[in-house]
Amino acid sequence: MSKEELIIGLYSLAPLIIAGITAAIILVISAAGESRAGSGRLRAVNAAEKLSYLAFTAMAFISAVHFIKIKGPLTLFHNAVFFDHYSAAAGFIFSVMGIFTIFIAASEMKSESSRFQPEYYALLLSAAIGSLIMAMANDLLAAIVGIEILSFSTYILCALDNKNKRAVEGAFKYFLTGAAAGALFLFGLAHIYGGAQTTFISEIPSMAAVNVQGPGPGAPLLIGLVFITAALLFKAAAVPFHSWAPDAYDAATVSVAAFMTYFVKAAVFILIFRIFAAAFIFMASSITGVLSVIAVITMTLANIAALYQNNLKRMLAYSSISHTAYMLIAVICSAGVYKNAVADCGAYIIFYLVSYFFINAAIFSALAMLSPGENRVHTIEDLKGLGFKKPFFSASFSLALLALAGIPATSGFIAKFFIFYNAFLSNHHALVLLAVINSLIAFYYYIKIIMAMYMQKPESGETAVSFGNAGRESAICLAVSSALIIILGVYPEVIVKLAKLAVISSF
Amino acid sequence: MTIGLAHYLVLAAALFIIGLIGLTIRKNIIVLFMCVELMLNSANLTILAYARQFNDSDFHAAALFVMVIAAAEAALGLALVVAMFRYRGTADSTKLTLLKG
Repeated sequence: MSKEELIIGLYSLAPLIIAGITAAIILVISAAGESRAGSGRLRAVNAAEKLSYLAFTAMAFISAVHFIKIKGPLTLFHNAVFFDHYSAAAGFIFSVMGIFTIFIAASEMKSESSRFQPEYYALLLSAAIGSLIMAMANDLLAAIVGIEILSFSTYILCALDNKNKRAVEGAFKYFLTGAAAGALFLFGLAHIYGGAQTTFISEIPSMAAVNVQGPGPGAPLLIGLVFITAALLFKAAAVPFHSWAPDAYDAATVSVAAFMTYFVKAAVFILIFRIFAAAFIFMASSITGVLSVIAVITMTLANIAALYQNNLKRMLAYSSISHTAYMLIAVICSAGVYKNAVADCGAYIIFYLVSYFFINAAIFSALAMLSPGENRVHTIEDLKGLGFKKPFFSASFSLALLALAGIPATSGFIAKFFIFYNAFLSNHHALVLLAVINSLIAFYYYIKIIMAMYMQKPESGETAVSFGNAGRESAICLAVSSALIIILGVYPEVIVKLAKLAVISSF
Repeated sequence: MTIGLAHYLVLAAALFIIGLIGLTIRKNIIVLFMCVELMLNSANLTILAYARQFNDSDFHAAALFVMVIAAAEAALGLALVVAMFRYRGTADSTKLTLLKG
């Protein structure tokens, strides 16, 4: 490796290096003794929090610089990773997500009664490393390493409250399905190698054309694609691979559940789109039919299941499963008939992820304000009568729920509109119709929460939940995210334009 | 009869399916865990069979990736199994019913 290659390699991996070093420092702080309980724990948590803020801010800054400075797509480290606008944009999004997660976690971490250790922040950073590798991966082997780093961090985050039976159980269920998904991915990877003699995303189309005789893509490639898609759908929680999601969300604390809704989902979809659009677009027709059926079943089942939920986190889990289906529609359309299908769909997926991120940041920071530090179950009854007692909280929370449902003038509406309109252009009319019907069903359960807040009185006369003192960071996060939901709803052009630029230059 | 690529692929697919079926019907969490390892090893066998077929010594190293992933997964999984056994006192997956609905 020449000196120039080494320098550009270090430059491209700078966000990962920063995250890795900071995570190591936090682990040392955490292990440095007398930090297990009381004021020692609090001091260590504060130090770790500051460090991870700094790290995520630096990562966001460096990713922004990458985004501005990169001329065109590059592959580094013997083709193992891409260094392009797409990966830089993803890096920026992940870093901002990390910062928001720290804000949401503040009330859980900093209350006196909290048992959480500073490792929390190290795990967030290592999850960011995994997702960055997923965004950059050119070699499918690098992709699986990224997936596993992200997943392992998430399993541990989910089980972090290790004195809590529910947390351990949820984490174990998540782990078991996640490990099976990893095995599916590796099995698929092996067969893709068998079909194309390469595992590089950028080389699969040309190598497949050389190596496969006869009509069609050949059995090994098809088996490989099916298994890899199944594995990624597992991670994205699409039906029939969704059963872990409600349990894991329910078991995790509020901030970790928030992290799982936007961070893990974003990382998985950024990888799905890269694999689908860059490697397998030539054999997309053999799989879009199945994917469409999966998308329809996913949104229908998830929305119907959500109707019967009283536990807020489980309901949000089913809602997140239904949003997976909407993003899947965009993935399907990227194999569409018209000219800019890939660029448009990629941009709309990125916009959807950004919009979904702000909406969920708002919702979960509101939940974090409700009962700081405890890992208790939030039910819809808890919210009764809050409406006019806590005007700021209730208004922002309602706004976020309406955005999730897709009311015009919020980012949720624009994001859905882009994807549905695009599907309409790609002649997936039935898919659009079913998706719209499903969005209408979803209205019901979002409105149910808002009605509980504004129109119903709690039975005992007093509201069931209290607001803690440690909720300041969560309140800031709620305010910022709510503002961004409106801003993106009114001016989506900036993000869409940047996303389109990123996708066009990278694919 | 010479043993060729197809035999290895069929064996690997059989191992994978045994693992998958085991994952769905067995109850003991340690056995569930072994089933996942079986699936990972079948992926490994497939990779090595193809790499041998193509005479591609570079890709033999991919098997090491899989082993590292399997090892990390084993460490994490066993830690979770121990935590679960400590707080629940059971290794029966059908008794994990705190989270439902």
